[in-house]
Amino acid sequence: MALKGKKAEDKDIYRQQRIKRYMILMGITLAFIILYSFTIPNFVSIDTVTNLIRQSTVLTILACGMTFVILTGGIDLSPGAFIALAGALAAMAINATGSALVGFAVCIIAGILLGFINGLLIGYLKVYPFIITLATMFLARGLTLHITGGSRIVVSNEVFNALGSYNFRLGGVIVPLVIVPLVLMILLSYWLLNKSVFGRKVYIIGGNPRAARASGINVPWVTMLVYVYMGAMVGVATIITMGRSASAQPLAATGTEFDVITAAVIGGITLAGGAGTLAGTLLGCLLMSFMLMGVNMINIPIYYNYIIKGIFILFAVLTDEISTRLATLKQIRAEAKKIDRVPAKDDVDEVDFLGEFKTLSFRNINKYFPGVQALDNVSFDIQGGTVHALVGENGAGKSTLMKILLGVYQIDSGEILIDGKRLAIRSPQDSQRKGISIIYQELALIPELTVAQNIFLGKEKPGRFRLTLDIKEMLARTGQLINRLGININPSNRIKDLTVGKQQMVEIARAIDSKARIVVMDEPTSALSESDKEILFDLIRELKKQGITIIYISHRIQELFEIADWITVLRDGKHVITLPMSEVDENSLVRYMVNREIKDVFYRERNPIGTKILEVNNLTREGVFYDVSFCVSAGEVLGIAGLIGAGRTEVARCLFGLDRPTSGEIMLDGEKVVIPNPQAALQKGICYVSEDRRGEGIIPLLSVRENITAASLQKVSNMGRIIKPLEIKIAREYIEKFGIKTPADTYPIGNLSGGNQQKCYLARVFACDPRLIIFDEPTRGIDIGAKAEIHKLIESLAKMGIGIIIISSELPEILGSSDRIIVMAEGRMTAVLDNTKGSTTQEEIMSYATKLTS
Amino acid sequence: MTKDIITENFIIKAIKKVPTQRWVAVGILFVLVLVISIANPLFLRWNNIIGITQQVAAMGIIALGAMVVIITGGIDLSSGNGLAMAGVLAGVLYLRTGENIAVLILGAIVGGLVLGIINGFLITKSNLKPFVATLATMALAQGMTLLISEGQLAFLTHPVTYMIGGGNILGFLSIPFAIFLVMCLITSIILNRTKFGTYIYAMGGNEEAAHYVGINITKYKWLTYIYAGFTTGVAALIAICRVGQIAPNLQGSFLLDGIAAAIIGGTSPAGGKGTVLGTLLGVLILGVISNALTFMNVSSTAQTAVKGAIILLAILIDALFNLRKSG
Repeated sequence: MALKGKKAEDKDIYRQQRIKRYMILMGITLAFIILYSFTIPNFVSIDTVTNLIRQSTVLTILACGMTFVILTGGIDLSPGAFIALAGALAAMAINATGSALVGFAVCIIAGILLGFINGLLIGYLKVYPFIITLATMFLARGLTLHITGGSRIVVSNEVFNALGSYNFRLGGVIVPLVIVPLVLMILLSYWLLNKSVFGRKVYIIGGNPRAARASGINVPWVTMLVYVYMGAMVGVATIITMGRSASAQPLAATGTEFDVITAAVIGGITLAGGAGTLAGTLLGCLLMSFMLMGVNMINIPIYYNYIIKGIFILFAVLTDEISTRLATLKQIRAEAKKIDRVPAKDDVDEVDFLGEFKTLSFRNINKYFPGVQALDNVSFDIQGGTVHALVGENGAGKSTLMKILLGVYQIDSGEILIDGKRLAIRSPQDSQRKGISIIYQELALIPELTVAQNIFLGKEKPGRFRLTLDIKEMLARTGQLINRLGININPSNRIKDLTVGKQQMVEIARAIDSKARIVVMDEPTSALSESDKEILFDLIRELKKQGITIIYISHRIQELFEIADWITVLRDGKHVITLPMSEVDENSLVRYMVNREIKDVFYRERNPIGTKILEVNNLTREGVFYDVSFCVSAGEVLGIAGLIGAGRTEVARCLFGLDRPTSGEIMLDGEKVVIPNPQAALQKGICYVSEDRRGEGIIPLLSVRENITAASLQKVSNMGRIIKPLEIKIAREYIEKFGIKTPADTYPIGNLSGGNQQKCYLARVFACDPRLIIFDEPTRGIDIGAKAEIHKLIESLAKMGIGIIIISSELPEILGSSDRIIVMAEGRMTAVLDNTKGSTTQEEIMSYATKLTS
Repeated sequence: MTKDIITENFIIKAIKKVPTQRWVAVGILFVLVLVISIANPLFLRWNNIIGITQQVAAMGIIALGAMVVIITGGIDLSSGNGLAMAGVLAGVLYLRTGENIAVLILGAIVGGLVLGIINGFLITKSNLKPFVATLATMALAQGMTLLISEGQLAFLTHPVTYMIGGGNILGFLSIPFAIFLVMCLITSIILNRTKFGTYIYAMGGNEEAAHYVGINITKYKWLTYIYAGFTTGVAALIAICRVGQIAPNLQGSFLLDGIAAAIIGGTSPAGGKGTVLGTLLGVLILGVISNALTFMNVSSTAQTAVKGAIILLAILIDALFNLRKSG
């Protein structure tokens, strides 16, 4: 499916953006050159070039190192101070020994050691780089001032000073010697960043540290190396700085770090990490050097330097921001043009505030995102004062529709009507003011604030003078509310000290407390225990009595029959049907949702089972799961069923080395093994496909190819050098094999659809030759077609003799694909079921999954 | 049940609220004071303590602004140079208007506010990362400082400037420190008793959630940077009155000291966490250290190194705590 040739290369959006940035930077540089050549006599000359090289070397070398640091998502404020410290130490060493060699060695070693300290603290202790390097900057600057007594140390060793000050003649042209280290460092950095495994790992860590870890990359180690590399650059820069002034100065290079960061930012490195190129940084350095040199030559006051620098930073980042915004806007407009708009009727009145109403109508709602039509002409009615269930698969458009109702997104076309009057929702505040409230699926509470503060968030009660808040009143009101709900929570407790279930209840209380006429509940029971669920349902019935409309989103079809009056099914952004709950049964509902029989999707042809690969005995992680024992053989599919929070994912994390078990043993091919980290797991052939695809799966800023090979870099490299043809070959092979629909292997993965991203992620896992694969919710959030494809893949893997563990909350998925099923409840195994004949039933699993073991 | 909760013993509640980390800071401060006063009993002299309070005031106010910004998950790199700019601006205006003291006070505060407004605009309206935006305004402020102060070398001799810079109330409370305490009080009220303060924590703790419940993120984030600008302005007033002259190098190490004090006091660089009490402790720790070092005849140059070491120590203790907590 991969297109080949020139056209495919054009699809590399990031490259286009990069080139655009390079052009802008070169344009500005050129503008400076032209400006200066008119204002400064003899500006266009060899001397200018020589000067430029002399002045920009230190900046550029440091910027090379800083590029690595910022790409990992870090920052380094210490290089200026480190130059001073390394310089002082070197100067003392030279003056004591008289040896230039000792001087060079001291500079480099001191730089590396200082970088190592930064790296150790940032990589292994996981402290924020900004803070650590701030502290080491203080420390280094102070130490320097102390050991030098605040005065400069003259270094008269000519050999040592030569690097910074010597000029040689090349065909009549005077060339400063610093050009040699400058070019060397640039080449080294370029090679490391673009051709080596190390550089690739830097990009992966910056793009998605969790995915890096899951790909078997030793994140602390690589992070530390990055700071060590920065330290080495500092060492080289120290030698040059000292040579230029023939001395070590305690205040040398003050503020350089900000210049270096500025150059990198101008060059397009994003501070969040993962994006940017060395070429950009170099252009940034060039531009800055030109600007600063020109200002010096024109002899205008120094403060223009600062002002121009400030304007530059703003200019560089703002052009980026604006061009991205324009591009997105253009794309959205282009897609919106493709359909016939239904013009909003202007003669319709607008609703200011929701009172009691008969019908809430969605009319021809359309919503586009770049590349996707999330809602396609959706129209249906909701009766006021009822519980209206909204179902559909992930990606069916439920969340998008609700976010429109809540003002998070705006409608591209169509309208929402209340009893025939238009309901325009402009922002979340607007939606809340008009009487719409939501309980989110993901917890949307502020951990550091109290229960009362969270409940009143966004609608605080002002005190007597309007300036401050009436905290007593809010606490009391919260207490009443909580009493009414029959939950036992202290209103002045902080959210972070509550259990997940209690947090969910707080969230429900928050929605109920608002004077909402419409309450949207997005999977409200997912974190609730059975008894909490009953409390919730009682509440919903009470709200209904008060005439409040509830839109209830849930994947648990059984509970809909218990609570809902009406049901609407969405599929692929389109409205399928709206019915009273009494007129549907479970089977027809599923058919509406997926448009095919469930068992077809997950059906797998069984194959003979080979020898035992993995055996787990009494595996325990204190407080999480206890005494889990099972085994998996070659070609076998083992399903792990259970409710959310039963400890299934946690077992898998221990097998993959993401967590450590407290007791029990893991046997691989009959031998006891310890899996301390993902690298070890991958080496032993154990792979893990996470449920959290965005979080651990893909590295959004990198290309399809780089994503596929992220976990198997050893395979495509030789002595730390990435063999590009081999990498391309492997990547294309998997694109073909997995049917990944991408314009090119260089296409950014973030622009692919969810299903294709999932396939890339799977390709990354298979590229490291696994013997055992753990799938955690492999088909969550992808469309039905992709689901079927992924299960075909699982079938072929089992046939190849790979052992497979599937963790899934979808019972049909477990039943359709597993040979054996273990069921977990509250951290313990409650059953092992044989399913080789496909004879196990959903009821059987559910009875074990809800069985209390304690 | 509700009643019990509200009438729960205030002191117990206050102690419970103080996280372990804060006790570490208190411990450090206590040990420092103890060791230093044993080494040199003169340290505990009244004069010296008043001296410390005078020294830390401006930096402390900067630290308050830094803390508020860091709680929202941002950073303000422009406060140091902004302080110099506001101070110099106020000084120049003051001299030009015939030594009108109101102009000095207003000039400093307005200078700080303008900087805050610009920072807030860049961050909320232009969608820039706080680090980049304030990096740019830092450079701009530095240039402006030199531009405004160029050629001017004048002393501030008005008695009120002496008062603001080093006066006393009743002989025991230095005026700069009193201003700092008032700023602490204001910041504390904002953080704990107002909508704005609640939203500061909300934005840092979970910005998306804050947006969903209908908080106007743009407005409150902007306000946060304006408040930080305000603290910069007040600090500038104290700083210029202490120096008593228009000095373009007024920024000193205010920026980094301020951030360091906030962090030592337990403000989380990830956002969402931080208290005035903690920052006050952080400020005092840094103040006591540099005073004690001066007292013990440690050269001012070595003080920077010790300061770095202390910050590093505080971070390490914190990091080790967190590592253990997360297993």
